Amino acid sequence: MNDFLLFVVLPYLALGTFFLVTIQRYRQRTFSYSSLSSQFLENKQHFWGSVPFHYGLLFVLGLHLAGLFIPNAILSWNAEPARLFITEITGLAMAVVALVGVVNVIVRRFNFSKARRVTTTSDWVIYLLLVVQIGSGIYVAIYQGWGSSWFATNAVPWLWSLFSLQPDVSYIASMPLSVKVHVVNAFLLIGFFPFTRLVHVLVVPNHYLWRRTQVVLWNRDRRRIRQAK
Amino acid sequence: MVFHLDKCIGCHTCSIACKNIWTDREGTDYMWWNNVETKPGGGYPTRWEDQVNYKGGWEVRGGKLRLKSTGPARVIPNIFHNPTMPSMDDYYEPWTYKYEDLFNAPEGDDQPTAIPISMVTGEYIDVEAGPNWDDDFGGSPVYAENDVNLEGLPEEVRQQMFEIQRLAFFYMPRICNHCMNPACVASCPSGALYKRGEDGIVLLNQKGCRAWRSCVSACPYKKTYFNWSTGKSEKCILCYPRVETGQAPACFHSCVGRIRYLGNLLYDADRIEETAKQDDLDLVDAQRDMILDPHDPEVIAQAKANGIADSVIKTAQESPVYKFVKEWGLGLPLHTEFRTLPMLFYVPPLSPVLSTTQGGTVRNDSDDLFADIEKARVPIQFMGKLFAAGNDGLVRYALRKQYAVRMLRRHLTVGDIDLETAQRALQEAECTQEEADAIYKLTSLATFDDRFVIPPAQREMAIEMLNDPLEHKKSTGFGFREAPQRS
Amino acid sequence: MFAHRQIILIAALIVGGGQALGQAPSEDSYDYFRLNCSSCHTIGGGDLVGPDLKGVLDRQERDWLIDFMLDPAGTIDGGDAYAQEIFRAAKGQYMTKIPSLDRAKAGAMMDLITHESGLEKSVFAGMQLSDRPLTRDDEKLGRKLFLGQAEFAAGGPACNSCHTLVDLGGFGGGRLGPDLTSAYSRLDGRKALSAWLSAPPSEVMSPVFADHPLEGDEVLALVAFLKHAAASGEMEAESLTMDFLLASFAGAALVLILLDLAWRKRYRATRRPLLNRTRAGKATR
Repeated sequence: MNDFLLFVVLPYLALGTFFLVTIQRYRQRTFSYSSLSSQFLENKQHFWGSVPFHYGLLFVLGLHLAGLFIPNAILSWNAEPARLFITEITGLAMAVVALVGVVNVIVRRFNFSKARRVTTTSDWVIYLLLVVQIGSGIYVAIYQGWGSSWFATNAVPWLWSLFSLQPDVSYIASMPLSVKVHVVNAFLLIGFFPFTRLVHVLVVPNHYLWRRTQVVLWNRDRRRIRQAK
Repeated sequence: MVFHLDKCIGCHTCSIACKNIWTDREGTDYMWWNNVETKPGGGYPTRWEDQVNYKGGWEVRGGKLRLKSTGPARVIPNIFHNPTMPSMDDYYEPWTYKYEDLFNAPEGDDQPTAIPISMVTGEYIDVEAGPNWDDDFGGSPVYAENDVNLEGLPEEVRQQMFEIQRLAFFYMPRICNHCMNPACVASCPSGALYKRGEDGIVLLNQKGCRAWRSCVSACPYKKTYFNWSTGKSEKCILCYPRVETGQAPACFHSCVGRIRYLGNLLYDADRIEETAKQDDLDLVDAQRDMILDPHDPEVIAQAKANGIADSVIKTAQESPVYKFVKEWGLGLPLHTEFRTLPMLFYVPPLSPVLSTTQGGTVRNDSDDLFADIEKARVPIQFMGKLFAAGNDGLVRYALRKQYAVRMLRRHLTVGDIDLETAQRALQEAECTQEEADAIYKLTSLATFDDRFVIPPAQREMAIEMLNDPLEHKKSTGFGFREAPQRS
Repeated sequence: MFAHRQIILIAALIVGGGQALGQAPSEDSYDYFRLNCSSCHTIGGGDLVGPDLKGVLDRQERDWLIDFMLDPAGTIDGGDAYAQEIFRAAKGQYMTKIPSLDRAKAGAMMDLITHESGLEKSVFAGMQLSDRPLTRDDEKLGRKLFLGQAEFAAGGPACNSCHTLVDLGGFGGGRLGPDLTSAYSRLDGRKALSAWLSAPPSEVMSPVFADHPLEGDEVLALVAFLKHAAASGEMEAESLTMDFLLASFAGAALVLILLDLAWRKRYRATRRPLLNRTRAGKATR
């Protein structure tokens, strides 16, 4: 029963909230769609928080997504133990880098009164969730090792069973507690996502890569006005 | 826009006018969209002119014009920590005073004091910097001596400048230059910054801004600011609501010394990149070349073909800016080597006259009419670096012309200079008597209507009948009417 | 002619009805037993990890058996004498609790066992694996299968995703499942281990391998490899974990250093260093 709540109801609730609220917030409160940067208020510690955190997390998240979408490619890469060890060591190393980052972020937000001034309650909630997420991930990587392989075979089928609306908890129900914590916390993060600064992830400026350098806007269509005369 | 520095008295009225209207909100308290700097001096933020340090503006690399701080290939890797962004420490931490302490202090032998408190944290702070901390040579061993424009000057020139008998400075008010080739617009990853086609005002869409802060780095003049409370960048909007209703911007309007001129120019936007790629010494001339003669029938025809209204062409013909910059060659862009092609031009200031007293009469020392300019207390090389990317000849030309006009006026009003000398001066300064009269009139006698020739524009939206514009005073920014709530 | 046809029809009805009355187990029940039970139990093939189930209903009450299946560990730990006895016979291995099992399914299993016990040779009399001796080649193939260097024909994941073993090289195998070094001796040799591997019954493995069963030769190869491993002695899993940790931490430190280097020219400050420099200059003058 608990398994049903945690691994069927919670994921659907979290994903539902995520999609509904992100869209609603974008349409109604575009102004708030960014991360409130505090780099301007404190410049030096910021590097050691933000940069390791983002790069570490993006790498690890990328591995998870690869496991989710191309599990067979991951498995055949891991088929050679040397490559498996490379995957696992880089993965754990980047997770540790992300943990160093998030801890620095928290310490900095706490220590520098100017940065603390722009830190909201929802920020602290997010930091807590992130520490639990990265911490449990590191624990799993160490004590339930070679997750890059078993994630693809044991957890991914469960996730796909969710996505295909035929939830099957048998894959996840028998997992160790640490893995369950990691999974439940991940869905909590997804559920909280649209209410927090995390929405900045959705507005990464990809458009910049191909737009014209300068932006000039005319309020009126000049030629039409001229020709109308 | 033209700022006539020879007339600036450094009263900061412009700064206050701007602050009271636009930047009295939380998060904007440290911003001065208009500030007045003492030159030589460190400026605000400290040493903003040093682009080796701040990486603002453009550079020519591989035959192409590129931003120094960012670009499509660099924006994503640098997005987590902007590696070229100054922090509040380089501006100053805004403060106020605990005024209530003065009133609430218990009776005693001491005078109660109001202690400064930070406007960011509300905690007590030691004030150690301000927006014009080096005003009138305050702290000059730190600030004035480290003026970026002194770098590369001969040692004796530097020594001379700081001899106590010769010490001289001038004021330089700065606002957003509303550049032809704005680095802030080109750097914005979200496309929130744009230049208005009609009047060239560079604006920032508050709802489009996603706080990546590229504009703060990219602007070499450090005239886009990051609002730490709303997480949006803000900048001078040239009081566009005023301009749209035919009024001069607040800083222009309030200027006590009447140093500011506003008018539109017609220019060929297709030549921007080619112009900005010129060598340093040719930059000013190239930019002047881009500005088209609004009386030329060909230009008028092309402007009309491009949909420019007759009224806009008419104001371009009357524009005081065109006269200063193109006709007279007096207006020079600030630090044009940043290659943003700034649209704010400065008339370089004359230094105090050099003369000696002999037997009670004051006289010049030299037969050279323009000796004062060559030996000026603020050396031409210094101003050449400031206003002409090292092309001293352009500064010399502007100073000599001003000086010749001054001699002509001395002849006409005081009479201590004879006509022949005045005419020789005009001739040597390449200035006709009619031109000298026009310069004199626009410099000294100009009315509002002469100084501010504003093209008529359509208002974006008139709301004051429906909404009280003061409803959100001190909370709302600009460009949107709801309070700037983040969560 | 007409009557003749009627008789045939009636006969057919009787035969059909007779089958219905005989309660022949459905195909689903066979699949369920194969998937969840056959790795530990035979019907008439002798004891594996669990006891031979032939005629089990003659030995114990149907209801007791159903209760036991629904909560094996609870019944054993509850002190039931018969449960204790079979627990000892299984060398202290608890019977796996099957998550999908309910009272109806358990009943169906009882019917199946009754039906199969009555047959001369049940399909579950023993795994249809060859009895040929295990060779050195089997052992080598087993190692490859374990490490994933050779793929299982049905596409099941490699053992080292979750299990480690002595002498695997590098940082060993995964840690989600138990160390398999002693699996061969723990499961009492070839027969039981083969059965176990043919349909892995543990809660984590069964959903994964349900659709990807191992083939006969693969099972034998793994048995050969596990037998060899069991003879090699104990491994030191903790030191391998420590090596892995140290390598990762070193990697993390390296990444941090690289980040610092990549942005070594990042902007830091202007005003304060300027002040400090000037003050220091004044002091030395």
